[in-house]
Amino acid sequence: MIKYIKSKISAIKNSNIENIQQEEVETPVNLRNCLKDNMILIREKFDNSGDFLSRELKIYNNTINIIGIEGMINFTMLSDLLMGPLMSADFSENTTPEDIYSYLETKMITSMDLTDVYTTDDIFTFSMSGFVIVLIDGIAKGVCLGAQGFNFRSISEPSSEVNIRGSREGFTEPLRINMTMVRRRMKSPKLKFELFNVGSKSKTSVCMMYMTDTVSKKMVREIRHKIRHIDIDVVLESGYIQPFLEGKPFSIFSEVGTTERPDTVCAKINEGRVAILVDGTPFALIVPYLFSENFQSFDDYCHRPYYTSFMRIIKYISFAFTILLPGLYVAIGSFHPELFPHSILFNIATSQEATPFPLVIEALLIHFIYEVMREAGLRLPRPVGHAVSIVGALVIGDAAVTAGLIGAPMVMVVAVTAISSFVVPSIYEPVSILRFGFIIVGGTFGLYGIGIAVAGLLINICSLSEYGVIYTAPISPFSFKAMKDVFIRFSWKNMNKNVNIKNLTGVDIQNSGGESS
Amino acid sequence: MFAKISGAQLFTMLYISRVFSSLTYNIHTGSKLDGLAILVGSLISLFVQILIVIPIFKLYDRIKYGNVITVGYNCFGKNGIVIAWIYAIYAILVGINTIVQAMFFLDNAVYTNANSSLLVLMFIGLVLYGAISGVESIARVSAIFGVFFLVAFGFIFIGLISSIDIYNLSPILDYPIKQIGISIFDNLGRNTELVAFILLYPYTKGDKKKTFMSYLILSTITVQIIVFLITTVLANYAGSLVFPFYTLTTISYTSIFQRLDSLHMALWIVLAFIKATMYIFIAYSCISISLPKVKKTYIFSVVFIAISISVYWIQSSLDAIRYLQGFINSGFIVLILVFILPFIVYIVYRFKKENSVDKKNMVNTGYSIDTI
Repeated sequence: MIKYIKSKISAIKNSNIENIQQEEVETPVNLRNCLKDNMILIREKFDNSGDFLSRELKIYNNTINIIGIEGMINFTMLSDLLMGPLMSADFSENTTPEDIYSYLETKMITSMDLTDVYTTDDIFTFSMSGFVIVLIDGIAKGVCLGAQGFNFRSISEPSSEVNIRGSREGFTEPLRINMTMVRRRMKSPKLKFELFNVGSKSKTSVCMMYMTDTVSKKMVREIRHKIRHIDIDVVLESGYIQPFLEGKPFSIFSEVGTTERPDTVCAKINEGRVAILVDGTPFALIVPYLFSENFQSFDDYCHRPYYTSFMRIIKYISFAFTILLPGLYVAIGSFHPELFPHSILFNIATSQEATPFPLVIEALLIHFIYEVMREAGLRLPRPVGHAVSIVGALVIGDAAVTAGLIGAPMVMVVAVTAISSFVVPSIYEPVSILRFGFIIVGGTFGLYGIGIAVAGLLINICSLSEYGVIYTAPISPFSFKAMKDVFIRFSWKNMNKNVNIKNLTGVDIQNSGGESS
Repeated sequence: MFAKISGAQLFTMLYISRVFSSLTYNIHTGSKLDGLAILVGSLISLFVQILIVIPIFKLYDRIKYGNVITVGYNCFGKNGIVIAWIYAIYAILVGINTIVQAMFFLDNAVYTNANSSLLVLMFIGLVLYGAISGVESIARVSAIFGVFFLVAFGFIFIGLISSIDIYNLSPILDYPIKQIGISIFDNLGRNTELVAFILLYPYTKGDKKKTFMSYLILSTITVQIIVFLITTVLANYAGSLVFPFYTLTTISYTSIFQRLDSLHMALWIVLAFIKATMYIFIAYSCISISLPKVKKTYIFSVVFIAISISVYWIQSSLDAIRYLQGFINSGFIVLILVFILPFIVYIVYRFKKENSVDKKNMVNTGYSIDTI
């Protein structure tokens, strides 16, 4: 009986899905010879949108129509590329539509972005990217030429990856400009770009880039497959496609890295990785990404090795401080106070005597307030954000302690934790959550809880191995050659010049190397 | 496909697991052996262990594929399930024993007034999560904890150097042969990792014999150091302690660290976690070979319930704890699982079925660890 009901329900579900799919899948409409018919189809497609531009011109007995989107076309470029040459062309009364088409195809050498379009869908997609489409009466296809003129943010210093030495260039929003920034740095024929349109409605351009001589063919195939099968309506940022490239959705860390720097992208793809750029996003995705890479910055490779090594160790200690310090403080203070040296213990006991809350509540409360202030400071306009920070510092740092709500040692712990968390900004998200988690388990189960949580966290991190690359490599499994750039950094002279993720211990990427298909 | 972890990773897992057994050493309270007898016994035990694994190495040299369970299936047909379940039950029991030991320490030394139910449930949950994550994840985590153990152990050792009194290492005066003999057998019984080794063998890449030898030598050295510290620092007092190594860490003093028992507690939890997780994974792999069509989720659900009930029941009775430990640490059980059972399988394989048993047959029977 249950089986029968289940089968009926699934049959209804399947029929619904099929109906929906039939409704949603639109077959592309081919262009016709008649310009008027084509214009009706196109206007239907654009649904008489307010920004749709169409300009009809007569060339003797022939009619042509120029189509574009307002605000996306550079009119100066349009007149230079199209209007000027058309006006100066050697047409006569005997000019046929084929002659005009041939002229556009062969003589318009000033425009490099020139292609033919055959369907209304193509016209729609190209025009949304700032292309101009020329339709000729009597020709069942259009000529599409690039005359983009929309405004965009100029190339500027990356805000999330500020460095002291090295380039000040960061990615910007238009995809083509970001592609050129990579191409300029890697003047190699091995650098390959692959373009996709992702998002059933947004049709966002996505570019996958890699070096054909270092990347694994299997990995490229896998990533390409994943990008092609992204089922989403709109892609407005690289974060939209990031979950589709990750392996374990419930993992707290991600095997997909992000960067705003074209130089970092170049370095990564040279190591056999794949970078993905999304139109409209100044962040590139890097696949696969290792845990240890969160602690690397571009400056590391510009400074002297001993200084870089020192900074790396500082970063790892900061990371440990960020996630563990509040939890440990609460655990030891609540359950194992005997572990504190006597002098510290007396200070903590004194401050605790004067405050009404237990340590765990104090820690949660103050971290919650800190996160609220951080978020407020981040979202508000800068001058107001500064004001919030000042108020926060005064309220938490001074008033709360003076009022006897929070102990001074706890303020110190929060301050150290907060500052440490900014040392490794790329893993700020997981770290914020983990910090709260460790406070709760530390305050509930003491050091036992911390131990359990650390073990669970490590299992979670160590189980990540998307695309055959282990997230914790080269720390575990250990790979000595790659360790020259993990906790300490060797000089460029001593580092392995052919660093490639394929060479890491435990990596299992088959069909590696060579030209990808 | 088959080999998933490296020899170094297998070594670390076994080593950590063995070290946990060593930290629970309270041999003084049991057999009343002299410290020197234990040291000599563990050294001789090293050679005994090398001898008893010869048949299994011979078997694995011939098959190049699968493990003693899959060979058992191919030699005995459906009756091979008996071998699979013997190893599975043993692995579950070692896992339960590890959890019980971990919780026993926490109950009696750390959280003396706490209700341990939630602590136990948390620990079992974590162990199951680790086992579900697979042998690769366990191996990677054990490598990280291995480094942590070495650093922590180094700290504890340095902190104890000033307390070592070599005169506490008295000569074996009463029945020296008998004492050493008991010690050899006791060491063998505590080395449950030999069973783990023969079952994890097909998951491992590289030179397994080298891995095994490295494990045996380094674990013996570690055991020797631990027993040496217990004997020379605590002397006869160790005989009255349930957790002598924990007492050592409370004595240990290094600079700003007032006491190092926090390190012991951290070590205790993470080492117990690795050991229990490894054995639960082994149990799962044995069960899944015998029940290839049963889903992973079902197996782990049943294992979770079985372990939870068993741990609660055993933990509530000191006698049950004693019986379980006595059974697990009995040298006979290790001898049966590492020497006798593989030897029988080897003989049957060698003389009856060698010509018909090959890789293809193994896959055809459906009893393959490829599916795990």
